[in-house]
Amino acid sequence: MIRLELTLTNLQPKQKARILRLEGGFGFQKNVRSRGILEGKIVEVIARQPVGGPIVISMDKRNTAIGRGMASRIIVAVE
Amino acid sequence: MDIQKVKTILLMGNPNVGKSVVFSRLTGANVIASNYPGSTIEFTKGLMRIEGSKKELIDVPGTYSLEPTNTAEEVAVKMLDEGDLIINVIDSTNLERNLYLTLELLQRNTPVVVALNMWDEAKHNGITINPDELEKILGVPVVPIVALTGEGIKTLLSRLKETHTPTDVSQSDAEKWIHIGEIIKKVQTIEHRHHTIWEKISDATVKPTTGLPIGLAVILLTFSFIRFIGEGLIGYVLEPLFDMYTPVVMEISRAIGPGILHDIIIGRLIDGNIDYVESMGLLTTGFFVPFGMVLPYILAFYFGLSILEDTGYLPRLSVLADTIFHKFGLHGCGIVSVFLSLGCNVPGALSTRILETRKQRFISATLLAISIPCMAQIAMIFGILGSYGMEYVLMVFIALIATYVLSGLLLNRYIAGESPELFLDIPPYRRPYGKALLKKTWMRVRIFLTEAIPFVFLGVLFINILYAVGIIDTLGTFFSPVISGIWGLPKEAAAALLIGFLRKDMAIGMLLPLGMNPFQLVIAATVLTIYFPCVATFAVLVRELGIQDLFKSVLLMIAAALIVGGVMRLILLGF
Ligand SMILES: Nc1nc2c(ncn2[C@@H]2O[C@H](COP(=O)(O)OP(=O)(O)OP(=O)(O)O)[C@@H](O)[C@H]2O)c(=O)[nH]1
Repeated sequence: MIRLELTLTNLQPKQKARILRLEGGFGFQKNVRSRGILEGKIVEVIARQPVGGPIVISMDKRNTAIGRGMASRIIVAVE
Repeated sequence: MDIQKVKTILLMGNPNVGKSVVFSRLTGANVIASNYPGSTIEFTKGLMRIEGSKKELIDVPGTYSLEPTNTAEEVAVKMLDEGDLIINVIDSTNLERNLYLTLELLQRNTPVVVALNMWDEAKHNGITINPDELEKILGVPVVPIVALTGEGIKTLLSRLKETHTPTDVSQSDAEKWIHIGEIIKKVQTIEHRHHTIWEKISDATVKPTTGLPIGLAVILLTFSFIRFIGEGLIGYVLEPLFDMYTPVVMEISRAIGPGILHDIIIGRLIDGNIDYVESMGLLTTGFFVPFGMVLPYILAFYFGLSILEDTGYLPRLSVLADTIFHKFGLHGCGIVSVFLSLGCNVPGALSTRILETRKQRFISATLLAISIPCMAQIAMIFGILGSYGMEYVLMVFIALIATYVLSGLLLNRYIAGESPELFLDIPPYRRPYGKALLKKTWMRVRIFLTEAIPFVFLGVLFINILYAVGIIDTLGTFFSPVISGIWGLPKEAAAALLIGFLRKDMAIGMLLPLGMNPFQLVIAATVLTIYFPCVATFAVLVRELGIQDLFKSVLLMIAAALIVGGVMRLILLGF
């Protein structure tokens, strides 16, 4: 099976994907993981704010808003 | 462990897990709890009793890990060394990510007890956790609680003594997450539930297409509500009360007779009558401004704010506002500071602690000091300018919003430093409880009553003394190049600017006797907001920004006052 790797910013609302990797320094990875954004988790995009605004994702029924820069370093694959 | 030896207990956990509610339960003290991450920005201490002995309990700001990302979290980590025992409060609906901090805490050498809070909400969401199993794995007591109702609190207290200093296990981050994955598999089952109506509303309020119109509607509705309640209280309660009070004061006035004492206590009579705004006596203006004009709006504002806070709407507003606030070098959370500042600049300035970098905190604090009038001041602007027509009130607000936006754009450009992006947990909507709302409103109103009113009295006293020794005239003449030359105001406005350091609401009231036209009043009210914060806010800014940054901030305020006031003069009055 070929999985297309995307970043969180590529997903459209209602799209679900599995988190593959976090690309960034130690601090970034720790910060993101401490909010429960972990490799292997399924995320769904709820909303994308316009003009480069943050993305709202849902994970384990919890919503988190995350800026695009950070989101672009979260690598996912659509299931 | 020997509970008698414990002196200090810490309440620690992720943001928004209910620590403040647990704190109120355990100490009986009232602290502000709100449904958004980061409502506790400074630790609160209280006393509690366990088995007959008094312990100190500390409500520590929420933190996701022991590596702080902002000032509020730094406070949390620093507190760690002060505790002999930690109550780790966990949000049961969110066990997995909460356990990370738990494992970090278990690596320190302070005994831990775990409280599984929001047990009711977890049940409701179809989440089942096996506390006994979790207890076995973690090796410390685990107690399910519902802080809101008090369920489980007794058990929690009785089991504190069962904990012990953890045995040293060192785990890397990756190992911790693997461990957490295993724990979750063993202790938690989640039943699949369909989307509830609240989840649908939640989605609709963060999607831009539906969220932005809803957001605007909510803001407009909130402010109409505040005005409606404020005006209603004034018209139907306070004016009748003061009408009954007037004969009493007149009687006192006659008894005292003319002289300096009369000036201070009753103030000047205007056409033989008391004028509650202009007389400037302790029993007249000193009483009427805080109680008759400001208090009704303060009450209405804090009730409205409490509803926004407790439902969990504010974080959604932060998400929607993020794009705009990013242009000012801030992120969406900046809007929370704006809202708090509209009540009083002091908590507003404190709330900048949830921002991550020094640049963000500087910009946020400076912007609010420059262009956000507090509710006391707003009430006076409505009271005084409103009688000439709402368009004048609107002019002040348009000028202030424009100042906020322009200063924000400029500061973002010229202040060095980083502006990290928004990274915010959005809590579920919760039903606000009437009793909690009223209690919270009252706590904040009480702060106004106890901390603002002494300043009003001081202000009245001060004005009388200054007039008596004739300093105001000298000052007015000295500053007239700015006051009259740039802003087009009478030089007597110097008195209001001076009192503005103490209380801005009083200062606005002092503009009334100067016989200005409505346009001049608009300029004066705007300049009074911008030129300098009140002492109470200033004191907080000294602490939050440090002297050096505050100095910069003050220069910016003065520059903004000169420029904005000057431009408004050109537009409204001509040359
Ligand atoms: N359903 C339910 N709600 C709760 C419970 N405990 C607290 N809450 C609500 O959860 C929200 C957060 O509570 P706080 O006490 O402010 O949380 P905190 O941990 O102090 O938050 P920070 O100050 O951000 O660290 C509030 O709206 C509370 O009313 C509970 O046991 N059940």
